[in-house]
Amino acid sequence: MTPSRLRRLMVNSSIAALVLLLPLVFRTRPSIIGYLNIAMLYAIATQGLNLLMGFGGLVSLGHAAFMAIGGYTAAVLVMTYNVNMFLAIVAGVATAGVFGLVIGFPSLRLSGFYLAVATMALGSSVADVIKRLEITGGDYGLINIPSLRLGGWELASEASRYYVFAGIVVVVFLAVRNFLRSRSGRAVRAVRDSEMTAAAMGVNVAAYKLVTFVFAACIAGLSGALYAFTISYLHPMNFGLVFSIELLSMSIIGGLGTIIGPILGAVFWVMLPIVIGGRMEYLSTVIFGLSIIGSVMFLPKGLSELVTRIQTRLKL
Amino acid sequence: MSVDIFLNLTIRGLTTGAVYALVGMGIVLILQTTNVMNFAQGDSGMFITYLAFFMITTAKVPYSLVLILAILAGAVIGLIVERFMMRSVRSRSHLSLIMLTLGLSLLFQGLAAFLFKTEPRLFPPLVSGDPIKIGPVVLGRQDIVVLLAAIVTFGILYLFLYRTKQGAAARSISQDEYAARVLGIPTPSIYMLVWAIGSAMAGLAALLIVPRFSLEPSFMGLIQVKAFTAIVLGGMGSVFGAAVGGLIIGVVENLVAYQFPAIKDSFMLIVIVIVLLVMPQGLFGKRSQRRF
Amino acid sequence: MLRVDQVVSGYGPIDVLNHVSISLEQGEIVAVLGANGAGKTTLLRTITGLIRVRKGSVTFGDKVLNGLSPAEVVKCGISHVPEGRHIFPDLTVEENLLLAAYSMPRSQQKNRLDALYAMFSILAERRRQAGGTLSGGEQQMLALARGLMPNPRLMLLDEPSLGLAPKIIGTVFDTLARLRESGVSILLVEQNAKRSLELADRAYVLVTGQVALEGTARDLTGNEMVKQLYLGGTR
Repeated sequence: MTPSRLRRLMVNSSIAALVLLLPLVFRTRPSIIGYLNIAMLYAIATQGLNLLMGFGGLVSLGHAAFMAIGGYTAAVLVMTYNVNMFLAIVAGVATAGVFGLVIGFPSLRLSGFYLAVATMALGSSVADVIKRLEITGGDYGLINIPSLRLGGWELASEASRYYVFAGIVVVVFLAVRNFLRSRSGRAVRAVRDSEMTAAAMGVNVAAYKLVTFVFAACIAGLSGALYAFTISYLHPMNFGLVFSIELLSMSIIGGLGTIIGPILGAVFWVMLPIVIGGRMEYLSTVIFGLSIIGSVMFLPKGLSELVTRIQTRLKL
Repeated sequence: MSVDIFLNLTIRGLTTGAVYALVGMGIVLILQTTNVMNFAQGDSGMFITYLAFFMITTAKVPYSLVLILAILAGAVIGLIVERFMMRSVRSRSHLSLIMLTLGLSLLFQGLAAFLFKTEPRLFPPLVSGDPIKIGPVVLGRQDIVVLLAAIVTFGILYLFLYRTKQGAAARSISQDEYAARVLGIPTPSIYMLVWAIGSAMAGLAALLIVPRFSLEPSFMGLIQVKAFTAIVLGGMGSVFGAAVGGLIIGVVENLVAYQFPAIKDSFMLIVIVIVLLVMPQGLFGKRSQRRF
Repeated sequence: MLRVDQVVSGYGPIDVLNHVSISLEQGEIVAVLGANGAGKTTLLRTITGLIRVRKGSVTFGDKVLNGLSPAEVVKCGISHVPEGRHIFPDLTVEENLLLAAYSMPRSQQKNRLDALYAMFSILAERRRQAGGTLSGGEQQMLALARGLMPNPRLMLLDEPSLGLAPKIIGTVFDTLARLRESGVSILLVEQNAKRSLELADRAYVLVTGQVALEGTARDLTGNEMVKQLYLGGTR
């Protein structure tokens, strides 16, 4: 084994160890782990957005809607129809996927600004519809959603959820990476770089755009379903345009078009306000704005570019 | 719905629509000339409105002067944004440019919330006094000011675009940026000018509409969404289209809200999607060409 | 008058021009010949300031043009008529012309307009019409008139006959001959080597970003290589 590979292995395993040990480190402060759990859920949703925008080149300003659909579907199935929680989550993912197909259709005809506005409209209208429905609790929101349970095992503590979510993050991220390395993934990237060239090479542009939308929506739906059973409270206003833009911001800050970007962006997004503290809460919004501007202007791959630079510096 | 109610709703809708039109025209002006969809248009207006608020309440500056200062502040913000942000990334993808303005919008919101706190504040209207009755129509004085301001702004913008050489240059850039540079048009200064005008319009629009809501960091969010709807309806490419689109949306929204309150918000969103899918060129645009 | 000295320039990581030197004296028409991709258009863009000079220098009279913006180069008295005409389709003919003299005082603009309308009567007729409604030949006339609008001492013409019907090509070259009499110098880039050598005083042949041949138009017309490559019946 060459020294640099050895070093990389050591760094990677120590990062893995650190990730696994965090709940023990913060044993006395489970709220920290709770925030990290939220960050991981955001990271999952953001990974879908990253797939769509960073790799597919398709703008979406309505991504929060997929989370809402996944979350509400799963929660309503469990609460109103007593469906098994695992099946409910699967159903949530599937429903989000179907909506991905519906919202993906405009992307066949629209691009750039037009697509941005169309997804913004569709995304916001989902939140609006949920607000009008009775089964979703309407404007009162959905309260007392049971907490996550896998088989007979209830994940009541933050730490237990932490490990499950970490596992899910790894699985989702690997799935996205493998998708991108597959034939379909190459086609998706070809479509991003030049739709016309891709079409000329025989890529079915329309089909791949829809596939990307559906895949991205499913991932966000999964995030939303898990979110519902973690927070135990859903309100349509939390899934409007503002949250869609927040998800987008996370993916930009983390680094669009990189696999680790979403987790970096989401952790940064969730933890910065905690680090800064309640009294200076809005300073973090200022920093987020500056981070996005800085990312676009100086670090197009966001935080993950920083990571890459550190790696090169340390010759990892 | 009686005729009187219909008339009242329509006229009042026009005044709301005038604000959508003001925001939308600024966005289209910048979009057409510089190819940047400015998602920070509403929030730069919001930030300027905070500055205006403290000028009025704390520094006791007269309202008319504040209005001028607010327009100037908008222009300065536009200049800064163009010179120090947009210029260096002009050649990047649409996506990067959209992201940049989203970052800017977040920055304005954060600054407003951090510096001025988030609790809603009541912003005094420009003019007070009893509503005015014109036949069966009852109109607030501020509403009349808003309508007049939108008309005047539209007039000024029209004169700028069609009667000045800078305006002609802006139109030429929107049609063929390369040719404009080849002919020796100083495109960087035109970009700065257009950003200044566009942002000044944002400040004006926000200041005019704020008395109807309350001043808080998020108050321009929904208005900006409506302005985008107006642009799409008007065909993205035309300042005139954005103005008419804004007015139509203001009126229809008001009528729908009265008759079918349940679908008030979703209605406009559905309109956007249908317009985009069925006639993406909007009411006044031509497909696949950038123009005013 | 114009001196391009050992200029290197290009796009991104690629140098298109490799130490190109050309010169042009007052009143001359100089043609630049070469295949597609030889760097003819790049040469014009470099002179106008649309592309940065990486090495070498461009001087006009006693003025160094390196680093000037296109707007400043136009003020020095050089105009550029781009390939493909690039008429603003939704602006009127008159607006198209006025924009070409952007920094000129209004009274002077008026004089230039009158002079050009006298020269191109078709444009005077169509002055209120949108540029996009003109025919290809009319658009080329408008493009030439736009190039003349700032009253340049030197005009850079990029493929003025491209995509035009043979009869109209004749008109274009007649116009260029008339321009010579009015004292404007012309640097002409053309695919139509035969026509341009007939018109030009001197010519350069660019091959992959370097000057491969130069001489008087008559010498080059007789040159075997030029005959084969650019004047041959097959092309």
